[in-house]
Amino acid sequence: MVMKLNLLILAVTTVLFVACTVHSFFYIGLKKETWKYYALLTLFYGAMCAACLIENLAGMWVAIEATTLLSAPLICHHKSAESVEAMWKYLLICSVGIGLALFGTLLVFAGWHLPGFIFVLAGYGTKMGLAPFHTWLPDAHSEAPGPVSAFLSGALLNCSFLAITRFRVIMPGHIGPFCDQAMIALGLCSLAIAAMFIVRQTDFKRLLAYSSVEHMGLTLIIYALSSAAAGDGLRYGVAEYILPAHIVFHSLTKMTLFLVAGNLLLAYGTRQIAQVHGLGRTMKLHAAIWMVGILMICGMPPSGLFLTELGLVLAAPTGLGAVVMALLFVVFAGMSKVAVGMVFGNPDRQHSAVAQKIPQALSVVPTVGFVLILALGSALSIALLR
Amino acid sequence: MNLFCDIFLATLVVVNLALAGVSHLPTAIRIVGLQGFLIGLLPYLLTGEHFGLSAINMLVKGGLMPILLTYALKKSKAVKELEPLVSFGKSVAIVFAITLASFYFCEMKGIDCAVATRLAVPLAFATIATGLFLIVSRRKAITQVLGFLVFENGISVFAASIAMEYGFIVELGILLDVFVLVFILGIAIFEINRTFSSIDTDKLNRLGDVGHLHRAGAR
Repeated sequence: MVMKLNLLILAVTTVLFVACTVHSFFYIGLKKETWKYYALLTLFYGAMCAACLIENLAGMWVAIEATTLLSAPLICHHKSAESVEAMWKYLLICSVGIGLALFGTLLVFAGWHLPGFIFVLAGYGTKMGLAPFHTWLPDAHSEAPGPVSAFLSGALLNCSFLAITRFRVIMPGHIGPFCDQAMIALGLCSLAIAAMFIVRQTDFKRLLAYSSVEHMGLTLIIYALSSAAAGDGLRYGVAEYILPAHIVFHSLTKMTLFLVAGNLLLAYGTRQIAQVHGLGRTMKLHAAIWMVGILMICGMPPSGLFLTELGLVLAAPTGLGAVVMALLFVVFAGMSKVAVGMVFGNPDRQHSAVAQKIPQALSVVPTVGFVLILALGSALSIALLR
Repeated sequence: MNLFCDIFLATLVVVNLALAGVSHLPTAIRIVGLQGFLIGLLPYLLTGEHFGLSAINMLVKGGLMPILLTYALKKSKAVKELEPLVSFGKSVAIVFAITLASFYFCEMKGIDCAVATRLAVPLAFATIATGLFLIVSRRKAITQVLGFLVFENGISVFAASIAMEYGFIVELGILLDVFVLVFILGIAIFEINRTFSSIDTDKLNRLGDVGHLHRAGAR
């Protein structure tokens, strides 16, 4: 299970790396001054590969801490006051979190499994963006350039999730149920806090960042349910394909959305939802991807996320399933309201010419990603129906 | 050897208490450097092996990191931590209480897996908690970095006290990570000073949702 999961995450990370680098050629540009950006992006990818492949748990810690260090300057690429603040928070919060994970690793090595797992869950949970340790995530994701946010959200969070799963499989049987319950509690907390902030959100990149918090919570709940099923004495469990499908579809969809959000920021010069209207008139292709993409990340068929979330709700105990479904509905309401407000309506006069401002090439990678998630989602749905 | 180790570890308590009470930033950097130097020596003292690794640790934690931080401090022209969120007197009392609590905790739980001395594990816990306390109770960016280093030193003491051997490469990797982190944080301090013209972290309040809603309400 673990070996397969790490290869899957490695594959997803690689696809995202290629997509984000190609998009960066158009977004950041290939100039002499930008060599640092590409060097850091590549090293960041290398550190994530190492995190997926190193079997030694302390060695994996080194790789995951390296991802923090290498991605921090990327967040601060624009050097504005806000991005410096975001980088500082990211570095400090994540480093302390990861430090706690190292402490937890040592506790596990010393044979104190339960406190060790709690520290590991809190530590790598910080890096994974689980509430209530998520506070760095919306700041970093909203301040980073579009391709970097896409890469952070789609790839980095998965790597930290992988770290948690590695510790879960080596926990002895008698504390297994407690570990699963702790993961479900943390997942639910993430889901609830994300839903709360999505409904009141005024910034569209932060909206996507909170959606990542929500999906990381869901991933953790799905994982907890499947590992509870693998352990003895528990009757719940989700089908085997659900966890990998959730990871793949979340990463691809979120990457596409963050790239589109970066383009919108470039075109409109603002991240305020209230200042963007009538995308459907000014930037037709982007409007279509944004609208459908947001519906798909909320779990509308034919998105694969519909199948995985349905599987989760059906497999979970009744109470948990009902709560998850209610929170998913709140998220859907909040996000679709934003998408409708941005896409429809009449564009402000000052924005009527924005579509010409951004180069056509910027829509290539989001379009490819969009077609890919539609095709994959439909294929998975049809395969399951048969 | 044991007595020597104990005296050695007992100085850690003094160092922690001193850090909680000192306001002069260059002095604080030197104290953390001293702590790093002592802790670098610890694996060698406890096991009698790995001298090379200890030497590298001492060099990086006791030498390079303080130099880097002093350089960042000079650039930012800050000299003193003037108004910490928790006053210096109270900080010393809290660190003292933390130390007592961790000894009490280890005694109560019967945690005693140290290779050479019973002081190591409770002191590791106390140092980790002191580092976390320094991070949350201080305003200046540089003091928060120092807090992180104390926190990391505590983890190193713990690793040494349970005779944990990661292996040479991983050990070097951890050290490299911490060193690069201090390096990047130093650059970040420089950037913060340039953009906000001070290194007080409470000026870093532009982002965030709750504050945003507050500001919207005030308008």
